[in-house]
Amino acid sequence: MIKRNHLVLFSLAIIATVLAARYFFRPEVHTVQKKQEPAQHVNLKEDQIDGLKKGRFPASIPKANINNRKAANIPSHEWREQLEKTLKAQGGNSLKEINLNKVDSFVWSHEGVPLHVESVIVTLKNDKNSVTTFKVLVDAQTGKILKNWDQPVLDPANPRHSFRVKLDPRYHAD
Amino acid sequence: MKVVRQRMTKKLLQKGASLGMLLLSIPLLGLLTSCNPTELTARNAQSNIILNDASFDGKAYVYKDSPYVLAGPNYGPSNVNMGKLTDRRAELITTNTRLTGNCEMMFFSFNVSIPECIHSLSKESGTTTPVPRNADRTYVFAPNTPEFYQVNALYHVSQATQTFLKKLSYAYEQAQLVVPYGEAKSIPYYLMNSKLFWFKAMSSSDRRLFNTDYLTTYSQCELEGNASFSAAGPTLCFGGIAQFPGFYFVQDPSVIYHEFAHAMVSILLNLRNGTNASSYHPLRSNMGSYGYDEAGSINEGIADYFSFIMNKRERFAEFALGKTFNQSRPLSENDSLHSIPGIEESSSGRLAYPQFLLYDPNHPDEAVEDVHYAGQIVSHYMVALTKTLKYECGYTSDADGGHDRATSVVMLLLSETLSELGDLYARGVDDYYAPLTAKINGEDVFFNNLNYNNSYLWTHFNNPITFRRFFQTFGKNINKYVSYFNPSSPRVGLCPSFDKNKSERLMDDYGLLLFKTYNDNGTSTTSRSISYSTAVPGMVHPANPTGVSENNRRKSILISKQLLQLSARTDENPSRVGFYIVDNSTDMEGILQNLLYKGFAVPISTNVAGTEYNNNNIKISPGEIIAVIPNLQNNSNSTMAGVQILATDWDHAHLPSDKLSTGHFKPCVVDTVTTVDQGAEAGGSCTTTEPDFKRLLPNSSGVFPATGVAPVCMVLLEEGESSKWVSQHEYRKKQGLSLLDKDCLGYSTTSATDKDFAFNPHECLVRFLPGANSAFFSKIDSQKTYYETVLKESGGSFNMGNAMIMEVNKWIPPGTKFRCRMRARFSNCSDCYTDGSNGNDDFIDAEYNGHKPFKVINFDFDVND
Repeated sequence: MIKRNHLVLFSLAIIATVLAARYFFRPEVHTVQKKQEPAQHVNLKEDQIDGLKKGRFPASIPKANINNRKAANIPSHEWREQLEKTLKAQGGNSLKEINLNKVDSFVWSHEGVPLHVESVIVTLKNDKNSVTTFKVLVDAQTGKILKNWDQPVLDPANPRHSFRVKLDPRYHAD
Repeated sequence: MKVVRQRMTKKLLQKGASLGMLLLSIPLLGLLTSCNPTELTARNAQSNIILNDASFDGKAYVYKDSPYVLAGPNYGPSNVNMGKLTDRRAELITTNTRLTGNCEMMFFSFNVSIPECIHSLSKESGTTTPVPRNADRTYVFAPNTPEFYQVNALYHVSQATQTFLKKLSYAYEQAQLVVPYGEAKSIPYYLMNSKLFWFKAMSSSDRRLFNTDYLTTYSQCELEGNASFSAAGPTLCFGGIAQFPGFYFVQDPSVIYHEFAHAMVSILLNLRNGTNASSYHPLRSNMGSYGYDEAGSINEGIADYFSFIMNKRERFAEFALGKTFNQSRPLSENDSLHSIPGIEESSSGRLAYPQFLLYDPNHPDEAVEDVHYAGQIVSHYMVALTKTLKYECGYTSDADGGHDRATSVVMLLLSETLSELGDLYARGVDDYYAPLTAKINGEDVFFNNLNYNNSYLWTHFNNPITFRRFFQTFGKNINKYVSYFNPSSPRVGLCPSFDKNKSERLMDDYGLLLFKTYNDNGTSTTSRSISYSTAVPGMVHPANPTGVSENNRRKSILISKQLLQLSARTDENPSRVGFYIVDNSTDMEGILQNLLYKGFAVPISTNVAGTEYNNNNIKISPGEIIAVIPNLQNNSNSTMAGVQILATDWDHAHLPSDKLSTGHFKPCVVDTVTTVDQGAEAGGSCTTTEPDFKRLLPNSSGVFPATGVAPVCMVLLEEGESSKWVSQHEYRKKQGLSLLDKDCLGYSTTSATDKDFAFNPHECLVRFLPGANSAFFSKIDSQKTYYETVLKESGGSFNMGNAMIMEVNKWIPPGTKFRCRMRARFSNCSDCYTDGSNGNDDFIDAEYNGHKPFKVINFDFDVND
């Protein structure tokens, strides 16, 4: 019984608090945007390091650190060709089409090393006309793949038919 | 409402009626039909409307469910005619003039809309322009045509979108309501600015996160035997099955809901990864990898559950999966698909982890490792939770039996959980109504997934989403949003009668009480002395993490990591193998291609390794690219589950101060295998764990840092009488090798430069390919190996999730010995996540850089021709 009374009292209190909270919520919608950090698009001077092109740091990197942060590599238009080569090496003869859609360029700390990178959406078509799309982060100089993400989620009608590889029978000949 | 059916007009025309008669008959028939719009039968749906007084604008006839439900369980998947199954009433498809849908989400009283957030198309190779509305302003097309399926796909995707955004709106409000009490929440207040409640963070054409800023649905895409969601598009794709002509996945709306739910999971995971329309994290979080893993299983379970949210049925894909390959999945223990005695909706009869991880209810005698089967544990738990909330919270008296309210609560829990786990900004908390920008001692402080730069690595590899991590966070959110009741606080949870004990018992019924505390004390990722309240004054959280009541742990058994080891041949088990090697070129090329089409492009080294060197001798030879499948062994008396092995870089090396110019590190003593006598170091930086993830690479002056992470593989250097384990960088300069950078694995050059700043000289000779350097295993039975538990049962074949890909430099002298120090752990581990010296508080994220949370597994091998 005591618990119920408590509940009633607390419910009234919470309603009042919620109403108050809602009152304060509304006008803050626009003020919040003012409070937020503006996007930090930093155009680096090209003479900071040989061959350095314009870069952009992610917004969370403290401004104070940006000037001290020089990318090690030098962007090159060859990244695209090199990336294609890598994809062809992996895809072999089954690869029919490659489409690379660069969506962003920026400086990224790759395992502690600041690098100019390209964010690229890769679309591949194989010899069965199946299309797959995913994203890669590549070194803007060498085209080397640094990360993959946003891979497709496949739902086969029969999971038992999913790709599997048989162990060599020599392991368990018995 | 006036509608004239073409079937009727055709008859009139056939009888040679004059045009005048026809014109006279139109309003008359229209008037008749307007008296009772339900007169429109499914057969009528096959006709075109020839007069529309605007009440049919944007409408069409759609099938509301699958043929299995509408035509009965005997309806087969060949030559499907959906025209006979459309509903009598026309439904609004879209108010737009082409087949696109709009998104709207309420933020309290603010309505934020994204016009044309969904585009419905037929296939990837077809037009990219959505079908326009008919001249009569309807979307009625002939049944079974591509346009008909595009209309139906848009209808169901729009229904799913509206349900999702309505429930996310509820979740958003509930989450913000805890803020005045100083409590942390995950769904960000600034979500309305970032628009990350949909796939639209960036509007600028030169800085985008996706191919398009809308979701594209391909209702008849060229994907054999599959339906899929692709986050990079973003796209939903519904294929067909060649052996069933006329069958398409899109004919089963539960599959549409399932695929949409993958899109929903992708959105929820990334809710925190942008603060406004131009400030965002360049990467995105995902759940699932290239084979079996627990994140992928949870994703599948949530997707099945969303189908239940939409259609209230406790079975998924009765038609699309059930009638094609007998693969329909139950969503509750109550379903008759479960044929094993004892499975029932009782405490002892639940579909518990890890017992049912490999369970296919349609073939219960066969064990198959697959995310869809393992996900059933999640879907069953979610449905059971929904049912429990209905009666515990008094929702059953609602008109819908409490379905909407109960599922909204579950969606709140999912939204909070996923947005926290996928947080790549790594803050884990906001500054009340704005993104956290506070610093401690001038440094950024992070509370989740280590830090901004390494958060992707942490939440996908070092501390990934597993059954343990997911349900620990989910349970924390139940305590916060549902069960919360404290007499000294004015705040009350949504349903205090579903208290912490009841929540823990239900989780335990499913074997999911895999954690000792809720890890809710808000410690930072690098220091236990920094917490939420240090960064955000006034924020409240427990000083010590809230513990699980051990009385509630009855089925969730935890096992020490010391009982996990690499399998070894013994007299009793002479056929046991430690590592399986795949080195035949055909299989390896197939594996690499399969990885690529699953979206895992790996940076294969050119010139110094390749499948052309593979010699199929199931040994490791120079130049090969091989798959390595560790065969782990469980020495405990209970089943180990969610076993993960990592070959990623970690802090296991010490660089003496006199070696900073050479980078010749010494391995740390982390076990009894690599000793001081063998060149290892027990002191120095080996006594601490590096709090950041930085590699031991030289700076521009050629000086190596004193601390950092190192690749897993070392090499044995034999000098005279002594042998010691050294870095590959040291070895390649000695032993008469003198290998240059360009002759190392992972070295890339262009015509313009021979510098590669992403190159790591410590992995010059052998390396696990980035992106394919971890493996996952569903479970290992008591006193058995993984092979004996799973592989043997499945005919000796492994899935890609079990394999890691290794490259071997062709210049390695035969006979060279390597030791790769991998780290392993599992989800029901008693000492892989918590630190006994800190009151069973979870390890802080930085500690996942070292060996403490893991069992070190040494992979020793010789390279030989």
